[in-house]
Amino acid sequence: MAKKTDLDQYKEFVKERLKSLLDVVQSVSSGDFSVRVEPPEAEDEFTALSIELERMIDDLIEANSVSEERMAKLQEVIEEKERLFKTVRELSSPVIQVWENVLVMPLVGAIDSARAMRITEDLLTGITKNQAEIVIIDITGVPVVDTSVANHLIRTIKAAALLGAKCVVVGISSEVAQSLISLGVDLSGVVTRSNLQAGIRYAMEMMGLEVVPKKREK
Amino acid sequence: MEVARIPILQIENYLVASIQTALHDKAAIQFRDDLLERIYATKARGLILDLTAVDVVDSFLARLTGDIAEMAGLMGTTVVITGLQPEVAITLVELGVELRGVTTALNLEKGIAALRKMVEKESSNGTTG
Repeated sequence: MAKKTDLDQYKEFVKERLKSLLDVVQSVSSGDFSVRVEPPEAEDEFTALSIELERMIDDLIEANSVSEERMAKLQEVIEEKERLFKTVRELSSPVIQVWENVLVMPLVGAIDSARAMRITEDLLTGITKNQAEIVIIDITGVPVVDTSVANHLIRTIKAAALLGAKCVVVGISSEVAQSLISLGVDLSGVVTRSNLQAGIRYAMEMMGLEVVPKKREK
Repeated sequence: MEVARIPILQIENYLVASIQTALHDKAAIQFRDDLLERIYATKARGLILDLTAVDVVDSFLARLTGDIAEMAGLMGTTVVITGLQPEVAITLVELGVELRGVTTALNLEKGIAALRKMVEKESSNGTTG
């Protein structure tokens, strides 16, 4: 009988220890690292288990804080990137009024189809907003003009013509001119001038204006 | 069924028609017929087609606009289209409608100015040549 009571006691003891360990493991697995393993009362297999469990929790806490730090950094980087993207978008298609009814759109950097769409939209809204009659498109800063960019440009010019505005393309570099001709792009309906100055002069001529030196009284 | 007609106004020697509603195919054809009849009756020198209020153009209307311009041209009337919206212009280009030979202007005022200039030029050419 006594032997059986001992066994019962041992069973109960094991059950109790296991339950306390199970509680700890459960709360850790649900993300709560604040729990500690109670210091063992006696030296047995459970003591070793408790110590190892304690160590594991410490490691987890450390790994967790490191990953949280990294997440915060990553979030910061993403936000910065979004800000930059926004700036680039804003810079991608500026429309500047340089004279009454004359707009300039300086384009810098590579043009993909998404940007080309934006350029078309911004230019056309700029024309209606400013009631522009002449638009100078400056492509000095565009390194490569391939068929798709050229086609987008021609479409934009046609759409602008439908609104009643005339477009002048200026700043075609020698490389761009060469590639346009070898690609067989037909720019026959498009007015082109060498640089922005020549474009502005053309606009002035079209509007019947002229820049003359100021008369000085002697 | 009677379709709603678009009013065609006369100022001096010019006709002005402003489209204010979405045009269905039937109404558009009615509009074309009315317009050509008025041109014939008034012998107008110029026609201004104001599309400021039009925000959607389908391929039928786009073609019809080009047709009207060409037909009026045959009858000796210069056509100026005014007030095209940016989205409409993009749609027209995507549809491949270029409105060749049609003058466009940003608004009615500029349209009338352009029309006057063209008609004057034409008549001076006519008298001298």
